[in-house]
Amino acid sequence: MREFSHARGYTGDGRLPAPWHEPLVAGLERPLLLGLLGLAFATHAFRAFQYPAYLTDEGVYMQQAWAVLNLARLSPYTYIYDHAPAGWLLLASWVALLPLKFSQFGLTINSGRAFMVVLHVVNTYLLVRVAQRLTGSTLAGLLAGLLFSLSPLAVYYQRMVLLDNLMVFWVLLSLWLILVSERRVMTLLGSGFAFGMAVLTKENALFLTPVVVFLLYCLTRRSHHFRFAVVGWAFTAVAVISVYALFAALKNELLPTSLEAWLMGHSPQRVSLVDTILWQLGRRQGSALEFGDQSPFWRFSLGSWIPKDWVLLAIGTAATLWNLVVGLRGRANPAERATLIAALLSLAYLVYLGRGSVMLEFYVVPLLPFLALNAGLAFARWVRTLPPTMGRVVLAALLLPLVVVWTVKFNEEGVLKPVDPYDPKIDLTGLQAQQIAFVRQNLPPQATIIGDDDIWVDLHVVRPAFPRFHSHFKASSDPDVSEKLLRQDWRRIDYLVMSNKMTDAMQLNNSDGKEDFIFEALDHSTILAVFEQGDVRFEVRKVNK
Amino acid sequence: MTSSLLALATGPLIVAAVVFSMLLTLQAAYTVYLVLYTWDQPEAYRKARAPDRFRPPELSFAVLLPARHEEAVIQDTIQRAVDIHYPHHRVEIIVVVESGDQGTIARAQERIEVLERTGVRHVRLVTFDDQPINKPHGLNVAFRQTTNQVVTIFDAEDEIHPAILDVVNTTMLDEGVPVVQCGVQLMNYDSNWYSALNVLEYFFWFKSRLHYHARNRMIPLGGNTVFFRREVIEQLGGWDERNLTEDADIGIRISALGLPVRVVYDDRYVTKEETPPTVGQFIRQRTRWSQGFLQTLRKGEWRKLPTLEQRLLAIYTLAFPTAQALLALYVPVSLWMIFSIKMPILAAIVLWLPAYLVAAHFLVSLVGLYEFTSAHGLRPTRLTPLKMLLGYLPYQWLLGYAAIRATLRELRGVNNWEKTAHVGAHRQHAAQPASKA
Repeated sequence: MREFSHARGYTGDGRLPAPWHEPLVAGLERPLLLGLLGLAFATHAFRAFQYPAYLTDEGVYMQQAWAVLNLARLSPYTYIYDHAPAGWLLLASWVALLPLKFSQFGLTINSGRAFMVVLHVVNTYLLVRVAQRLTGSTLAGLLAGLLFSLSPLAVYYQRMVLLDNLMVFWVLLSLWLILVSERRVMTLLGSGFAFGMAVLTKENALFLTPVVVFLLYCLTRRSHHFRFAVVGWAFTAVAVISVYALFAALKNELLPTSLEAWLMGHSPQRVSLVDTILWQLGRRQGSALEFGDQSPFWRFSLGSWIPKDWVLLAIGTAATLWNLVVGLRGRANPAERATLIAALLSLAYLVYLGRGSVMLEFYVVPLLPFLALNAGLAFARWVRTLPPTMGRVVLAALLLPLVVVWTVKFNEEGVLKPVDPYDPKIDLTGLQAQQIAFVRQNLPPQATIIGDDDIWVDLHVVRPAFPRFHSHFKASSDPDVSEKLLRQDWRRIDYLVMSNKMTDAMQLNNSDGKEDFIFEALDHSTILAVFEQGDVRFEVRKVNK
Repeated sequence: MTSSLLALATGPLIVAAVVFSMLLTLQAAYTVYLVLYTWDQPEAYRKARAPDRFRPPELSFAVLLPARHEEAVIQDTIQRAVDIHYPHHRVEIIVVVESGDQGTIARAQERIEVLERTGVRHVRLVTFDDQPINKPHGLNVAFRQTTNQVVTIFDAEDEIHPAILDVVNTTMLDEGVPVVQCGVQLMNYDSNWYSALNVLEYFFWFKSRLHYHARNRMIPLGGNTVFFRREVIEQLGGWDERNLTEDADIGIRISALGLPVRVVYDDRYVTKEETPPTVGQFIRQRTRWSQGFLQTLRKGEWRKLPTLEQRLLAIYTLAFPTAQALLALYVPVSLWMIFSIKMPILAAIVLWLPAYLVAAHFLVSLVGLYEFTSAHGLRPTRLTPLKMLLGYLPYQWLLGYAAIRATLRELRGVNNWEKTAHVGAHRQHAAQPASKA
């Protein structure tokens, strides 16, 4: 058996499948891997600062990273435990390393996007290694990495400063640490730590716990360190996660306010981690079993995900089901068990997406590496059954059209042009830059301005700063802003800086009427400037009192 | 005035506590690593095993049995030594007792006479009447009485595995090592509230931590089931009669000479012992060990160790009981500070970290309980983990108390030998499996 240079010391021991001899990639593993990582960088970095438009959530995480570095707090507003903070703590660490901090790459969110590009390259490397260790196939890893880096769905969301991207990093790191040396307790403790960080970055990583534990169990159950491996992994993960609860407890923000009201006889004016968790758990929308617009799973699948890239979704889902069947049939065999684990990773996250809770369209992000993993595994497995020459032909025949479909398209006039992320004519963040420049040149710095989080850091950090600029979310929800500062009175608002589709977001956030006073301001406002391209529109409005 | 002074002191106090917490956390994490070392390193785990096939007996052994007021168990111990599966002409058993200990002398003499009547003539009684009356002095006296190639020590309460000399004969000849430390294991894990924790300390020390020390060539040896080529003892000039832990001291001196030590902890061949029967006895035993370590530290033989890493490891090891005491005593202090002094949240979280490590230590012990019991064919009751949980912190406080007591005794220059009583509790357990391969 030929041993790959990058898998030295690993000869297959019955727990993991032994490395395959793959004529298609033999001797080319290193250049192919380096080429793939270069491609991963290129697809994600190319015009990452121009497309897509900065999202509200990106602005929120940059804003919170700014608060970490400048205010030593988790948010410039009241931190309401809506997400655990490990994501923006990591983001803040990255920004702290940059000489010009938030202004290193122009507009402030670009600092975060640069980090996402670096992270994607790391994630691709981890995904390749995970697939390789899981199956013994370098080809599987390279194919998974290729799909993960080329899919337009991935390219679109993985450039954005999203907690999901950071969570994917920790999950892949956790999987890799289990697979890289399952014989050592210390790497398994490291894996538990990484998994704990994944949960503290975004809580939905919890849905992957059974699969990761199953993998750990399969690899260690017959080893001398089985008990320490499993208990150590679990302890480390729980210990890391518990720091979040400890933080809340130390701030006296852990227990439900209702409990304190019951015990003390008056309702406290504070947030509560438990209250937020219960609220999150109670938020329901239609599950995937209810086909139609009421289910966010189908709404996003049909409205956003499939239009962006049906290919990865289709082949990834088909491969997941195929791997599930193959894996269940032959789970006693390490190679088949690996396919089962890959399938379960996809399915576990699909359960999360389909279970019917409130979600946003970028929640698909953690599914993408697992779909790519399953497709890579299934594909490499199939190619292996073919003679080498036939294998090369099949690979070329399938991959070349895929690359073409993912990089160019015919526009409405029937002209061939690059797909949106690579189209030099689409400069959506440029509109936001113009909007910021307009505010800077034309609005007084002491004005009270309501806008969106996407430009928050730019208006608060870069001089002249606008300290009374607040997002409509905080202006409507945080009592410190809505009641103490604005007193829910539209007349206290001077300007509105509207992001794309901001009125839709205000509508969604207005189930209890807390945004009403901002709508009133909108009704009393007139347009000062509009910046638009296609159906993307940004405005600056003056409130007439 | 008082409150403003307190407010002034709060800042530096918090900074000091944060720094101390971080140091203690690092120390405790390192300890967890040492405890898990064998399980972490597949190679160490493989090396810990005894050889599967034994060589024919070739080396001659002197089995030294130092005893003091061991009337209750000495006859059994002699019998265990006689029962070792090794040709009698290659073994010499020397019981060494201070001449004033007439009870032990009489019981030992009695058994030797019985054995001689059955043709067993390789057991001898040696007495000494000069000062100091302690184990290292007895060992030096006994050593001078033998010319056999390998010298080993067993304590009066030891339950010796019959194949132990085969293990050492094979290991020494196969690997050419001059010193072999075999496993010693307390067995009576369910005797009282602290016995499981005490048993597990031995388990982790011999099964895991000593392998780390052996690999790094800086090892405090155990007091028994340790085997020396006689030239090693001659070169060192015997055991230090002024040291309360002559075993740790001789280990450091051997390390300073650069001699390799092989550690064999194979669950099948461990020497079985008992936990001290009372808390008082336990504290006295721990005080003696902690003080002995401090004496060894002060003596400074560790300075002769060849590398800085070894010297640092020696300092860490010898000061370990004191560091462990600090951790146990500090946790309540840090919790008190968190709840009674207003401090930044990050500082409060750092002050919690040692508590996490204490929890990790406990969990490792709990897993160790099941490792230990399954290795020895035992089954803990459902109450054992609960007893461990309830006893865990009090046990750490006992260790802390003993470490402080040892430090005070050392500072006051009190260094008499506080002997541990033995009642043979471990001998009520199942008979050892005869597993000569």
